[in-house]
Amino acid sequence: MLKRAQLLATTLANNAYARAVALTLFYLIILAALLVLYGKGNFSTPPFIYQGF
Amino acid sequence: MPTCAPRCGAWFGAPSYAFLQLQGQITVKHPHLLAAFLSLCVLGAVILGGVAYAHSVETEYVHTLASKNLPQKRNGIALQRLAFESPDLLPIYGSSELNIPDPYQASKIFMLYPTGFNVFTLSGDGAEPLEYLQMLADVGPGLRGKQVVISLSPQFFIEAEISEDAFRGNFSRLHAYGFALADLPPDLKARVAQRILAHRAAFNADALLVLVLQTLAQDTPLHRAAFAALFPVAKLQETLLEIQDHWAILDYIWNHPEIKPGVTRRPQDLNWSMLAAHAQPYAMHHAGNNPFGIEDTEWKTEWAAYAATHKNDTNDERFLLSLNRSHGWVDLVLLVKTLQAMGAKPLLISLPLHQSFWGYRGVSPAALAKYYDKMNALAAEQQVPVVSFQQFQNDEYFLRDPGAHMSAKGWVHYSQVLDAYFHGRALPEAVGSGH
Repeated sequence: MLKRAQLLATTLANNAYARAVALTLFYLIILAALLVLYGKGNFSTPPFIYQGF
Repeated sequence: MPTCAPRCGAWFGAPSYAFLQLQGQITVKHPHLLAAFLSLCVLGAVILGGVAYAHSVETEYVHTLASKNLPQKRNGIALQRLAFESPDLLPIYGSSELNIPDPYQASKIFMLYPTGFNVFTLSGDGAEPLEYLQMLADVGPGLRGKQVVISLSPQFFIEAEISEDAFRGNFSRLHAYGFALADLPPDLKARVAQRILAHRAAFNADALLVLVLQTLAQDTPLHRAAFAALFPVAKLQETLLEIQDHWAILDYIWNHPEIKPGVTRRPQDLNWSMLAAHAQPYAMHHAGNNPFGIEDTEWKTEWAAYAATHKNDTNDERFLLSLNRSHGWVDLVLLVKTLQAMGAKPLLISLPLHQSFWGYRGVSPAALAKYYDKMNALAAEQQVPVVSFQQFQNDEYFLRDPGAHMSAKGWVHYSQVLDAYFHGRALPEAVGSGH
């Protein structure tokens, strides 16, 4: 089982398409993480009570 | 340039992986660029799909959220644009007077769309015309031909300048960028940019915004060229903030499952005389522990202490000096000019001054009348209708406190004006053009 997994990993590592897909996924994960971190933004404003009467 | 070397084939004999080996023979040039391109395409598709989805959800919920005091309504822009697109919503820009709950407030009176519309309130405590201006400029072309109500508190025209806390508490970078990139006359933009920059402490951390506003603040060919150079990156920043706005709204809706889309509509003729007849005793009943007609709880928690230290603390001369030097007038003119440049049909509604409390502080009715004179003169000069409720200045039960917050009685009269304005009927006591 382990040998087959190693075999698959080696095959994928040596396959240009598979590497391109893996690289794309890697970039997408980074972009998704950035989106999650900063996507919602921060629209909050400091609390304030008007006192100018 | 990664390729699968011919020797790879010797490493495995499993026939099931042969297709990988076969494909690996093909050379992929610049794999990092290809991956980056594909990632950006996927990201773009996700964002476009997400924005389309958010827009559909917001459209579904805009009527439900119309009367909620939801900060994202005023700090963002998506819901405001949708409100202007909705023929049965009347946007009102104001401050705390729209926030204080009352059984007779406009959002309650119009909740079931009795005469065909409800109000869409945009209100932040202490929010002033300079903030409304940025919000409305950010709405963009959707304002053309649309009705909009500007609710004004007299104290904004008595204070010398917006306090930094008030400006910061209502400032939105999205709206500031929206104003900066709006299609407005350059001289008007320059004057507004100067006013916003007077409060730059609120957004000093955003160097791009400061730079953009500085290029706008001086209307010279050199500054125009600098603005043109900054435009693309400012537009990108605005777009990112708009995407964040959509996300924030979706997040709110997802986290409030009790809020359901859709509203109940029950057409009905409103009997304003009857509403006023009910509201008057209600307001009186809740303002019995002080001589000013201030709402009981407000009196106990805030105004009793304030009154104790403010008896005869001012006079006519000081009042008029404050009135004449206030930046509120400048900002209101800029707001009206912006609305007119964008083709909107605004109505100004000013709440009255609390005569008995101002009298207690040492200001005469004759001096207070100067406020209405100035407001009416501004409206006439700018050709915009204004309702100031001056006739209620001496009515102790029109306001619930001297901070220009309405009582039940005040709300009924205010709502009657809104109804007349929405349906194009004559406005009571209106000054200016259009009505």
